Amino acid sequence: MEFRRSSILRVALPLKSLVSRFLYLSLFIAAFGIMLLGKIESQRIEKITAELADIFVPLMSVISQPIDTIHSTIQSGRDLMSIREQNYMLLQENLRLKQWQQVARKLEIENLALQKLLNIVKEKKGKFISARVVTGAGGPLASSFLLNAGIVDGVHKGNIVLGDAGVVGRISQVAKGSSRVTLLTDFNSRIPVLIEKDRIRAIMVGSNSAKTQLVHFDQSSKFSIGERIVTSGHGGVFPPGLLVGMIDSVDVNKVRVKLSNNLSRLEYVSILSLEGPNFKSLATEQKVLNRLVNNE
Amino acid sequence: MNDVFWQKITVSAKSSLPFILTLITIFLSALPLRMPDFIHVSPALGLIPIYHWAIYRSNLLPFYSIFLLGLLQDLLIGTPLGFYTLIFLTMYGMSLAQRRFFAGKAFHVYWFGFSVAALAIIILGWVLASIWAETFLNFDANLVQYAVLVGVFPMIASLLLRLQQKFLQ
Repeated sequence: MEFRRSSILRVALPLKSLVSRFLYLSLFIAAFGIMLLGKIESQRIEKITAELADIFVPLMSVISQPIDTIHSTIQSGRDLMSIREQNYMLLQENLRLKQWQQVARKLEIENLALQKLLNIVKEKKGKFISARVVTGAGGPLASSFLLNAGIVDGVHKGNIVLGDAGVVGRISQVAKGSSRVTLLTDFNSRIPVLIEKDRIRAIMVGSNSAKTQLVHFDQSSKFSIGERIVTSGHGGVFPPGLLVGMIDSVDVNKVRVKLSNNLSRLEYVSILSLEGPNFKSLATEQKVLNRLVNNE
Repeated sequence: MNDVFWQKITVSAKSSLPFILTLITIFLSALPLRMPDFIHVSPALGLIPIYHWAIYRSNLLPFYSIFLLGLLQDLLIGTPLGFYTLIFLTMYGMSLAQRRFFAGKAFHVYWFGFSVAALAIIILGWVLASIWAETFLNFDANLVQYAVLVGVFPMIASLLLRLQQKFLQ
């Protein structure tokens, strides 16, 4: 009996280790295959990813709540400590803002009059959808957040996401009740920007670190630290004039930008959903092109 | 009858403990902590329980569960689907190969083992992501992330050890 048992073990044990090795290898290959598929069939995989992530958003939404409560408690404690200084600062700021209000009113009227004179085409107006950031951490290899607003709330792919101090990123995936915003710091992110004062055009690219970089600008242009950077509106994806950040450092040919939003601290964001689609879809464009070619 | 039933429940609950603890760690690591400049260095905490269970209770955390946990991590933090699956499987395979050496050793040896494995993993992740992006990605943030990961290791690992001693003896 004992002899038979050991002989079974002698065959079974190596077999078991072989099977487990085979399983490990096949799972490894499967993971690699999924990644490769994501590169080839990116649209379809993106859709599946969005739908699957949608399942976890309610859970993440609930378990991230206590952290926000702790933060708001700490913040209100801090506010209470510095209530006198804050009051003084706010009074000062109020005075300054009142002066600005006068100027702005005057400029608004002037602007309206000039627009009427030129018969200018009005910009599209959008609506804002507020959403909570439910997953935040990504590490250096992923710069995106999951938001708890999706198709049912009127969010579309490509919508612009704003924080409390300017642009945060764009919606890259959208499912029924959730969406993913790809941040400006993501290495895929490229947006046309302007230096607000000098009107120098550039493209701002992300590098998966806290600061972004300017490229494709006129080499003769001069930058100074602290200048505000806004969206230029070229290409029609971003509306012009939205604050993006400030110039942080200027080296030889390397202009780094500090974003105006502290992305790590964002709790709520606004998604700017434009009235109509900004672009004709690629398919319609292709049809128009085909028609043109056929007519010729 | 009743006793047998409860015994069965307890056994299955105990044997699913490694998976559940790893799952919880992954969910926690994806939480937005709202700490300044944290998002680009926040560590993949899931690597710690994977290393731990591969060394101590690899039979309770099989390959396919690592695969699923990797997919979950990808879904939560938005890396390309399959990326963290590969990372986690590599970490698991590496730790499994060295488990005879590290199991039951002093805590600092165990910690050192993790720091070596994690360094290899961080470099692998960077290479993989750079290939995916078809450009050399910034490596500095990876180093900070590595330091944070190795820094929080004792906290999580000692908790896992304690839970293991309590429930899985």
